[in-house]
Amino acid sequence: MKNEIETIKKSIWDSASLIGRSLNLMEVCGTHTMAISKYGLRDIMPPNINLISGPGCPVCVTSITDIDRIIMLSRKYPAGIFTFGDMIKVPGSDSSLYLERSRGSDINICYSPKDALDFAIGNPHKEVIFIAIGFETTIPLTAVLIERARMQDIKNFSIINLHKLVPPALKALLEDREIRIDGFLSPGHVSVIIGSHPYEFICKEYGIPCVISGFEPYDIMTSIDMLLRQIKQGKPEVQIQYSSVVRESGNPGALKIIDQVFNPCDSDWRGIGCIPGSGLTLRKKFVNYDSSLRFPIEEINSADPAGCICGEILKGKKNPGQCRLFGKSCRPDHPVGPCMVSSEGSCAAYYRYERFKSHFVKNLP
Amino acid sequence: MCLAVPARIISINKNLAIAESLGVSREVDISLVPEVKKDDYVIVHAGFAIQLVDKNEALITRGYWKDYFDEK
Repeated sequence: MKNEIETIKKSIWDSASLIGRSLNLMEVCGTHTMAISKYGLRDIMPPNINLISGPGCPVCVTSITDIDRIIMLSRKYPAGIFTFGDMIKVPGSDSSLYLERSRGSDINICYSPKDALDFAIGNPHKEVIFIAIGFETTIPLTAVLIERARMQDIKNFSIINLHKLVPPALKALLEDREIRIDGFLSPGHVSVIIGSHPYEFICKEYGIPCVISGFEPYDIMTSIDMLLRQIKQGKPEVQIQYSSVVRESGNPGALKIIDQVFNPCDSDWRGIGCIPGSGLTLRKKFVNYDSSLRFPIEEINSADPAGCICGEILKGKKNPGQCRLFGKSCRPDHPVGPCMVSSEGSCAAYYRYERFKSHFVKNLP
Repeated sequence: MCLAVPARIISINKNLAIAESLGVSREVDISLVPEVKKDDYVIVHAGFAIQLVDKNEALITRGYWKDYFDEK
């Protein structure tokens, strides 16, 4: 394996030197963000290859208004709120779910969304709210549960729907003239569900290559090499490096159930704003499972934390080292912005693995 | 968040299976991979199997570099 890695590295350096110009390769997956930092892949890249992170962490891209709305809901209603662990420490305007739990709100961390529905089934007199967050990887799980809840006539289960879709966000980034992206490392497990076709517009309309990558250092380096070869040859296409689990057509059954339960809608992304068609809303026959209709709350005026540049970081315009708060007032034990909270956020990755490295404050071109 | 791990299916009971990953067995919902059989490898995300692992493809991926050398 060591020899293989050395061979890939040499190939990357050869291609990069042949291409000559500076290249920004963006990953759009929190697990890639962590793997690149953890395995020190930036350290072994040629000087003209910048590995930048995009909006690949669902917790990080959730707008502060949505966080505030959940906090407000947990204060106002005695429902049991179930969430993935990453959500709990994200600061809202004046609190977090973690703080609210210490103040008596019924907030529970679950491993699987199924735990929330099972709890609702076992406790029919208790309202259960699942915070449905995540990209295409997680969306079919929510869809299965909503359909199951309807089939079994479960009346005390509903979701706060924060699901978001990746391809429309990539389009929004490509339309942003302030960011130059030369290649995408496409998210492996999102692609398990959606397949390779939804990325084709990136190659056809924008002339930018995509490689759907696995998560081992070997996979990521191979994918970078595949991107560079495409750039060298001037033939952008969608390639699947993570072919052990990603098929061109994705998981058709999962796509079908998403379509049965949800309709596309516009959605607010932190730092990016409203992206058309990037969210999902429950179809009419499932609206009873929408927490926002069952547990109404007042309008909230939220404000992103002062000085926090998570928005710029999520768009790949800045790296965490360029944030004045990084490592000072914003640390994993006291996060100011979501990218420091989530275990998959760029700031958390840099803090944990890269804050002492020389390339850390390198400005993006 | 989109973390997923490979696991081997040990037994199946309707839409639930017991899957083993690195020595840990856990209940997994297989609604999204109805074609799954005992001893298949699946990739598990948040308690749900979301895809079967193609063993041949896994081997081919590792063989990517073999092609590269042939090309040269």
